[in-house]
Amino acid sequence: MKKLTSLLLIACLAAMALSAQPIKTNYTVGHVVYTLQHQYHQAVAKEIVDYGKKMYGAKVIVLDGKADSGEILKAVETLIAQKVKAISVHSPDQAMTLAAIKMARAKGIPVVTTLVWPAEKIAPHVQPMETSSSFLMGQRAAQAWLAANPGKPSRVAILDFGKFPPVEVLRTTPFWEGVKAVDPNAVLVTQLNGQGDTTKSMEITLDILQAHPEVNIIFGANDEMALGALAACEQVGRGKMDNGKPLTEVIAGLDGNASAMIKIFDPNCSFKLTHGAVRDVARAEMDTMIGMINGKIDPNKWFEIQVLSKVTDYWHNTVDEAQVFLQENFLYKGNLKDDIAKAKKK
Amino acid sequence: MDVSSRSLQIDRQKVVLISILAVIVAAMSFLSPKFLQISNFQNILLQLAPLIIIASAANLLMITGNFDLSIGSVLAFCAILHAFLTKQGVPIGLSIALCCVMAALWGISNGIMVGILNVNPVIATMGTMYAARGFAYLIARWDGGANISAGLPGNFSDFGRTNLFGVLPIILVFMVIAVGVFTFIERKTVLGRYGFAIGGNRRASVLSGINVAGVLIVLYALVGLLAGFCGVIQVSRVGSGFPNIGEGMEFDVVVAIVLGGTSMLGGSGSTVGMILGALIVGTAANGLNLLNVPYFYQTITKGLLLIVSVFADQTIRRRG
Repeated sequence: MKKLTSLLLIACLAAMALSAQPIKTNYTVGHVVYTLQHQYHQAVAKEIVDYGKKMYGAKVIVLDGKADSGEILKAVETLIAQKVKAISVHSPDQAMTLAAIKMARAKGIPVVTTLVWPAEKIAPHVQPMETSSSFLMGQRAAQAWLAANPGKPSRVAILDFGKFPPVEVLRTTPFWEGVKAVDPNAVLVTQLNGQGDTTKSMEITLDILQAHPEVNIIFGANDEMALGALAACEQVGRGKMDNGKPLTEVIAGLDGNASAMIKIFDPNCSFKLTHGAVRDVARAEMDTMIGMINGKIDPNKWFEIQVLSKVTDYWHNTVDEAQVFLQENFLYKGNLKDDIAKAKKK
Repeated sequence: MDVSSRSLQIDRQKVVLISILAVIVAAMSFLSPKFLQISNFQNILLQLAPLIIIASAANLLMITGNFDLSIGSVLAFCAILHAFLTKQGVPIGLSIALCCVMAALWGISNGIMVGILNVNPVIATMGTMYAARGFAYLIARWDGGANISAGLPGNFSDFGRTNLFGVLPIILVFMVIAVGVFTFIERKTVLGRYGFAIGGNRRASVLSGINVAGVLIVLYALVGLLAGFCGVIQVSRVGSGFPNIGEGMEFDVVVAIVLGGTSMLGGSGSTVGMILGALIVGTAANGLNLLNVPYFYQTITKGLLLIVSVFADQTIRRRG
C-alpha cells in the first residue's frame, strides 16, 4: 500500500513537472540547507532556486544550516517569521526536524523534509533511493576486486559520520551487504568516523592502512571522505589500478560530484564508484512544496517521494554519461575529459 | 624566579610529559600489534607535522602571553588560494610564494592590531579567523563551487607528497627545520629572550626599551606564514582545495602548547615541551584509531588527557 501511495505520488509529481507548462505563482518559499560547505548541498539549493523560478515563478529564500541543529532551527524560525508559504528542510537531526515541522505547522506553513526523515513520520518526505544504490555499489566493488584478485577475499573499511543511524540504513550497511552478497568471505575490518571531511578522512585512512594493510575495499559515505581515503592510499604507494583492473584496492564514494568523477574515470586510479541525485531531489522538494501550498498534497501526512540515486562507475558508464550527470546535477561547466587529462601526471 | 629554578621546573614538566607519553606508548603497544612499528611512528609524525610546524611559532607567541585563533582560517585561505592560483595557470612555486606572502600579511595584520592598536588578542585574531575563512569560501565560490578540485594541474600534489631520498616525506623535513629554527630562536636569540621578557612582564619590557609591538608583529607574521605554508602542503597532500580545511586547528595547537607546559599567561614554556604535548595527543589518537575506537570516545580521551596532564604537572610543581 505504501509503495502504491509513493508510486501514485511520484506519478502525480512527474505529471506536474512533465506538463512542461510553467505555472506562474508569486509564492515565496524557504529552503534550509544542511551546510553550504558541501558541493552536493550547494547544487541542490541552486537547482531549487532555478527550478522554482522557472517552473512556478516562485522566489526561494535559501538559508545555511551550517551543519548545526541550532542553526537549522534558527533558519526555520527565520523563514516562519518571513511568512513563507512552505519550507523544505534538510537536517540530519531527526528530533529537531520534528520540532521544526510542528513549529511551522502551528503557523500554517507546510514542511517537506529530505534524505533524513523526522523522528515521527508526519509530513511529506523526499527520499533519494540510496539503499539500493549503495547495495549495488558494494556488489560492483566486490565483483571488480575479486575478478582481478581471485585469491584475495574482500576486506572492507568504511568511513562514516559516526554510525549515524540514517546513514547506516541508507549507505554503509547496504554497501557492506552488497559486498557480502558477492563475497561471502568478506570481512568488515573497521568502520570509523571520517566526519565527512577530506583531510580528516585522509588521516584516519592512514591509520586504517597501518592497522589493516589487508584492506582492499574502502567506502566513504560521501565523496569528500572517499577522496581523503584515496589521498591516504596514494601517499603509501597504493590507490592504483591498471586500466580499471584493481591492483591495490577499490574505493567508492557518494554524491557523484566533479571531484569524484575526475578520479573515477582515470583508468589508473582506485576511486571507481559513486552514486547521487541532486536535480531530481531538488525538483521533488519544490514540486512537493507547491503541491502542499495548492492543496494537492496533504502536508499533515507522511508521503515518501522516492528519487533514484544514480550509480556511476568506471566499468558500467562512459565519461560522456558522467559529463551529462554533472551538468544536470552539479551545474558543471567544464569538460570532464579535459579535466581528467589535466589531472593526470604529466 | 631565577633562571636555574625555572629550568628545573621545565625539566620536571618534561619528565611528567615523557612519562605520560611512555604510558600511552606502552598501553597501545600492548593493545595493538601494529602500533610499535617504524611505519606507524612515521604515520603519527606525518599527521602531527602541520600542527607541530605551526605550534613551533605559536608556542613562542604564547610565551609572550598572546595567541592566535586565526591559524586554521589562514591555513584554509592559503590552501584554497593555492588551488585557485595553480588552476589559473600560475606556476606551483610562484603560487606557494604568493600564498606565503598573503599568510604573513594576515599575521602582520594580527600583530598590528595586538601590538600597536592594543586590541585584545582574542578579539583581534577572532576577527581574522572569520574574515580569512570567509575569503576562503569566497575564493571557492569564484571558482564556481564548494571546493576546487576539477581542472587542477597534474603536478598539483607533487609538492606535498614528495619523499626526500625516496623515503622521508617532505613535510617531516619541514617539521624538523621548523622545530630546529624555533628551538634556536627560543634559546639563543634576542627575539626569544624578548619573548620571555614580554610574557613575564610586558610593562617592564616596554620600560626597559624592548620594542614590544615589533616583537609581536614578527611573531604573529611567523605564525601566519607557517599556517599558510602548512595550508599549501596540506592541500597538496590531499590533492584538492577545500575551504573548510583546518577547522578547529587553532584549538589543537593550543592543546599541544598548553599540554607542553607553556603558560597561557606567558613567561614560560618550551618548543620541546610543545612537541611532547603534540605527541601525547597524536599518539593517543593514532592508537585509538588502530583499535577501532569510535570517534566520540577519542574526543573524550583527548579532553581527559589534557586535564590529567595539566593536573599532574601542577601537582608536581606545587610539591616540587
